[in-house]
Parts: sequence; C-alpha cells; structure tokens
Amino acid sequence: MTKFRFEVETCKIKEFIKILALLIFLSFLAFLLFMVEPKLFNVNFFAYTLVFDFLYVFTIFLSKGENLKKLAILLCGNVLSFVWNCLYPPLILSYFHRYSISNRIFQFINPVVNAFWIISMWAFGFSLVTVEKSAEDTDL
Amino acid sequence: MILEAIFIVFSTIIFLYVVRHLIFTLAVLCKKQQKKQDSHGYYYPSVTVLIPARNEEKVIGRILRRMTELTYPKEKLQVIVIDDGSEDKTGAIAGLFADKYDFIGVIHRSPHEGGRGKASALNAGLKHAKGEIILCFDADYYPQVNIVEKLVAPFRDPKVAAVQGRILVINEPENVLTRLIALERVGGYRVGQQAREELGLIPLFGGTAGGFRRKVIEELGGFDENMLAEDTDLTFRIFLAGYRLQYVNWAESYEEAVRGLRSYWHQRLRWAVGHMQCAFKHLIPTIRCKNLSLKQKIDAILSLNVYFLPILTAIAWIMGGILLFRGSFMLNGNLIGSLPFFMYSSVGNFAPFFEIGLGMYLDGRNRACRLIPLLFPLFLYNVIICTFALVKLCIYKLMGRRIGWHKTVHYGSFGKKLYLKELIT
Repeated sequence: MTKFRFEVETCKIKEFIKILALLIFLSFLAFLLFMVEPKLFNVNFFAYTLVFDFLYVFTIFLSKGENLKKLAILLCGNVLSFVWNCLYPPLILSYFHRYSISNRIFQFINPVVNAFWIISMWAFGFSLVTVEKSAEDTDL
Repeated sequence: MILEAIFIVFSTIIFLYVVRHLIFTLAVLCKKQQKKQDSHGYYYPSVTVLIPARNEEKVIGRILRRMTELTYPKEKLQVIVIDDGSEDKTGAIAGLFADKYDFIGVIHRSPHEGGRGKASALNAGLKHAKGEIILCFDADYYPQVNIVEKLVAPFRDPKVAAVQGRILVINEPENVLTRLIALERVGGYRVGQQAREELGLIPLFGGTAGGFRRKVIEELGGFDENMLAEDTDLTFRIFLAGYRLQYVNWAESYEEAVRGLRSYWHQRLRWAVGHMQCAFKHLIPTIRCKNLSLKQKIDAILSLNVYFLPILTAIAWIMGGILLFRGSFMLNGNLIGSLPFFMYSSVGNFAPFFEIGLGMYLDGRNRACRLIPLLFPLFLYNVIICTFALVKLCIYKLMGRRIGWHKTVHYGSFGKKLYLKELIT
C-alpha cells in the first residue's frame, strides 16, 4: 500500500516537473521572440490573451483531466491569439485605410470579433477535457 | 464627462454580473460533488401534485401516465389536473385518467373562467389540494419516477418553505435552437441554481418541477394573479417572509423546449415582462428586508434585475462606441480605460458561457460544449426581446392595462437519445 502511494506520488511529481519544464521553455521562446521583434507583442495581443488565460486557468485548469492536455490547449489558445493579433489588425486596418474608413470602427468591433475566438477556443478546450457520458446514464 | 461617468457606472454593473457568474462557476467547480441522496433519508408526507393545462392534448397523457408510475405511496398522493378552459381534448384525456385512478382528479374550468394565466389556474387547484406539500408540474414535463421522494425530503427542515428540482430538455436533438436552450438550462440549473444553494444565496423557484408547503402559500395569500412570473414572485415573497427555498439538483425533470424563434420570442417576452414586474414590486422591500443577509440581498437585487442587463449591455456598448468616436480620453488607446469595454464586449451579459461549459463538463457532455459560441446570436436576440419587454411593460403601466401573454405550444416530441418512446405507448 505504501509502495503504491509512493509510486502514485512520484508519478504526480514527474508530471509536474514535465509541465514546469515545458512552461519555462515556452516562456523562454516567447522572450526570445520579444527580443527579436518587440512589435509583434502589441496591446491587443496582451489584453485578449489575458482574458483568455484568466478564464482558462480559473475554469478548465480547476477541472479534472490530464494536466498536459490542458496545458497543450492553453498553449494552442495563446498561439491562436498571437497569430490572430499579428495578422488580423494589420489586414483590417490596411483595408480600412484603402477605402478611407475610420480606424475607430476597427477599435469598436475588435472586442466582439476577439470574443468569438476566445469563447470558441475556451469551449473547444473544455470539450476536450470532458469525458462523454452515454445516454444509458440518464436517470429516469 | 457625464457620458463617460454613465459609461463607467454601466461597465461596473456589468462587471459585477461577470464576477457574480465567475463566483458561481468556481463555487460549483471547487465544491466536492454531493452524492445523490439514497432512499433511506426520505419521508412521506401527504403530497398534492398540481398540473395546470390549457390546450395540452399532445402532452397531458404523457405526464399523467408518468404520475401513475411514480414510486411515491399512492395513498399519500393526490394529482390534480387544472383544465384551464381548454378547447381541445385535454379535459377528456385527463378525465379518462381520473376515472381509472383514484388519486387523480380534474378541475374543469370553463373558457370564460380559464385562460387568465398560470397563477389563476394554480389558485383554483390550491382550493382542492389536500396535501401538506404541493408540487407543480407543467403539462409538457416528464419527471423521474422517484422525483416526489426527492423533492419532499428537504421539507423535514421546518425553515424550508419551497423546493426546486432540476430541469432538462427532452427534445434537445430536435434542432439547433432546442440544443441551445438545453445549454442555457444546464448553465442555469446545474451551475447557477446549484451555486446559489451552495453559497446560501437565493435559489429561484421555477414554477414547475418544484413545490412548496401548503401552509406557507396559504399564509402568503396564494399566487399573485397580476404577475406574469408568478414563480419568481413567490420566491421573493417566501424569502421576504423569512423562509428558505432549497434547490435539489438530483430531482430531475424533462421539459419540452420551444422549437422555433417565434415561440422563443413569446416565451422569453413573457419571462422578461414577468421578471421586470417582480423587479418593480420587490426591489425596495428586498433592500429593506431584515430577514435577508447582505450577500442574499446583493444576490436578490442582481437576480431581480437580470432581465435589464441585456438592455444595459447594448446601451453601454453603443455608448462606448460614441465615446470612442468622440475621442474620449478613456478609450483612446488607453489600455486600462479600455478594459471594461473589452470586458463586456468580450463576455458581457454573455458571461454565463463559462457556467454553461462547466455544467456540460459536470454532466459529461463534451460535444455539446462546442455549440457555446452559437449562444452569442441568441444573446443578441435576447437584447431585442428584453428591450421590447421593457417598452411594453412601461406602455401598459402608463395605460393601466393588464398585460397579455402567448401560451407556449407543445408538440409532445421526445429526444431520440433518451429511448423513451416505449414509455408513452
């Protein structure tokens, strides 16, 4: 019994170390990217990634499930935020500039447009960590 | 400057609601899930089940058959169908059941008497009720066979005056709208109501799949027939009188969700108008009430005003846009000033999406989680409904007229997933 508990705890510690190592590696990559091209890290990216990470950490991370899987989804969300905020604003703004449309319209619709990826990615993440129950489990 | 101040006030209110829903989510997520109560803990008082029905011929047979299958001792059970002036075969079908089973009875109200709303029908039923505990079910509902035992168990506590069970959607696979309504129900009951129960706040009586003590309802003078949301009205009257309402998550009952946008409009409009009526009626008494704790008062005030929130969100969003175009110092590239704007544009009144996600997670239904982004158009639809409800309520108040309502049509449809067809033959 004591041996079994020891093995379980060792497994948990190993998993925790793996996650920690992955987080340090990712932070290092982000730092390198920031040093090479600081302009990529704009206000939009920080604000929306913050909203997504906050929701994610306080909901999905507290639920049961594999931690590595959760971390992978969190990473995907952050990458999506990064790519989205690198590509979408310049494209829209150049379009607006071409047709002499005010940039303010972009600022006005931007939060709503970003809400779609935040909520979709969050919902998709939750769907991946949940275990589907069968219809037979319905208690009538 | 005034516009900016109003914008900040609105943002703060919306932010409060977001925080409230986040607290609900965390309360349910961090709390160890309670095991379902076993049958040793039940007790058996006399119970009356009221089923108000108006033109429900497609569904009344289903619920009455279910009543005959209930495991509760029949000698302690009384079922009363209130045929509220039906013009179809509702009364005749209920009559057939009443002839066959002693514990089932029917009250036939003439078309002249009937059609005045659910509150009026329930008051008519209450006059004939003999049970110590009164339970209510809508005609389109399909409860668990042991739901009565589960719902009456909390009444052993003399402070508990009412109970509310969980509501699920029976025709969920029918179309996208019924699936989205099912999501809303999961968020509202599995997480919203459960969290209120866990945190000692104000769980709401839904008017169906729940019940109350007969003594208390008589003391309170029955249902208020002027209210469209007689259930919310009763909830607040119970709490203001110093009693408690308990939410029983494992007492499950299935309902038939509306299957078209038109029906959705009529149903939600009725709910919105009714809830707004309750807000006007109970806001001041709630603030002044000495029977409620501070956290209960805050929750009660937020619950009462919840149907104003979509309107507030829309106004605040438009206001934010105006400030932005006017080049306000607050929204001109200043991240801190823009945060409330981000916050309610990103989550806003749509905040319960994390409640819904958690509910789905707890129910073990991962695939349905992916429909959550589709709730956004439904939220926009709700903005229009709530705005219309407020305008309608104000106009009718000014004109001193009684507000009319549309009855939801039920079709007796079942979800394929539940394998229930054999039960309704």
